[in-house]
Amino acid sequence: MNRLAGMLFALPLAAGCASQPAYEPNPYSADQIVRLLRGAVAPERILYDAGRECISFRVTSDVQALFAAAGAPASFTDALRSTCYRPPRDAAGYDAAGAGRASGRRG
Amino acid sequence: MALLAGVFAQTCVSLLPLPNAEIEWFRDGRPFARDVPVSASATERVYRRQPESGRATERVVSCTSARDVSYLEDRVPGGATVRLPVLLRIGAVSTDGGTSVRRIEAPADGGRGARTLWFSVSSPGVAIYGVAPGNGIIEVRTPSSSGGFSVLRAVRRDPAPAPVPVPDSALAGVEAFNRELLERIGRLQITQLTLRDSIAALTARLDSARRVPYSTTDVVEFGAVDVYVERGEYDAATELLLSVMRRLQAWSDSAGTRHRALDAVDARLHQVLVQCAAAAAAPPRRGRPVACTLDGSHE
Repeated sequence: MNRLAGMLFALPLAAGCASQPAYEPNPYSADQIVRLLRGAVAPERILYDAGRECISFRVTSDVQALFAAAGAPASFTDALRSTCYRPPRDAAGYDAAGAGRASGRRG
Repeated sequence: MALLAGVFAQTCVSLLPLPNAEIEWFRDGRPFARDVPVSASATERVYRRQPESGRATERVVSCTSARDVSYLEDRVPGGATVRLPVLLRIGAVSTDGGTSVRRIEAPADGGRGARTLWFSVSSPGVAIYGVAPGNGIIEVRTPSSSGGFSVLRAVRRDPAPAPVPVPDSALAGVEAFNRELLERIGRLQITQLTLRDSIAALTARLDSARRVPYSTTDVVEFGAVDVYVERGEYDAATELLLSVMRRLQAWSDSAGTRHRALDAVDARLHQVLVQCAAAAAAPPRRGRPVACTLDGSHE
């Protein structure tokens, strides 16, 4: 059952990643994802958008607990671990981590 | 119509005290008076009232009607005459010769049984009367000088059962049977009255519960709308607000009353569209087009 749920989450994620936009992504912060979850946005929708725009945080156990408290199933957080990561930008538009146009996936 | 009037009149008759029964009255637990039956007819009971102290008087309890309204009337010479419209609905008021009578809920302490009807009477002083089938007035509550209520209660003393009379003819048997049937109809009418009141109270409670869907005009989706707006994803914000609006509208249609959060959602949608239009007119950030469609395609 969990495997099936993981596949369901992975499908839109794969579709999102396959169609990465030409413009610079606008990664989601953990706070934004928590607010979307609390705002009754479907986890599948969030995963789809995050797959397109990436996330700007590491999926730690603290973040996992935050998402769980906001009503996200464990499979959601698992799927988010494989979403592309981009460090947050500062006000001047530079990556806060100083990594320039960082891109990639983390497990 | 005549049959209906007869049945309504029978409702009052079923409230009359049982014939031949003595009634003892207690004021705040102390003996007050004793009513000894003198005569009884289908619509009237006459008693000799013997107070604890003082001279005996006559008490008459009867069923009367005026302008198609059936009244239970209780007269004590030297005391107040009370006329209670027995078919009054709970909360309804009847005015009779300057006296207002309102049918009320049972007192908070539960009164004396589910089938007791309660009335508040405005004159000569405010008083609350409890009337029960087969007993007539069983309780009178009047404001006391101490701030509470003084309670006058009736206790019926049924006579020892008389030997069952053997009917002289078949006709007497039929009459007795008819009388019993009429009494049963009256008792059923009282049950119907109390059931009707219960249904009305339950319906009112259900209506008030349906009218208050949320304790706030806020909706959970507003937090997500804020996220989309700060990210410049106005289409997603608009789509979400429209889905909320459709949900609340469907609720309003089924409940027959406008959902109180609809105005708040409408105002938020207007705000998002204004921000969307402003963002669309501004130069793009990071070469990224603004996700803002103002062509009404969301509808």
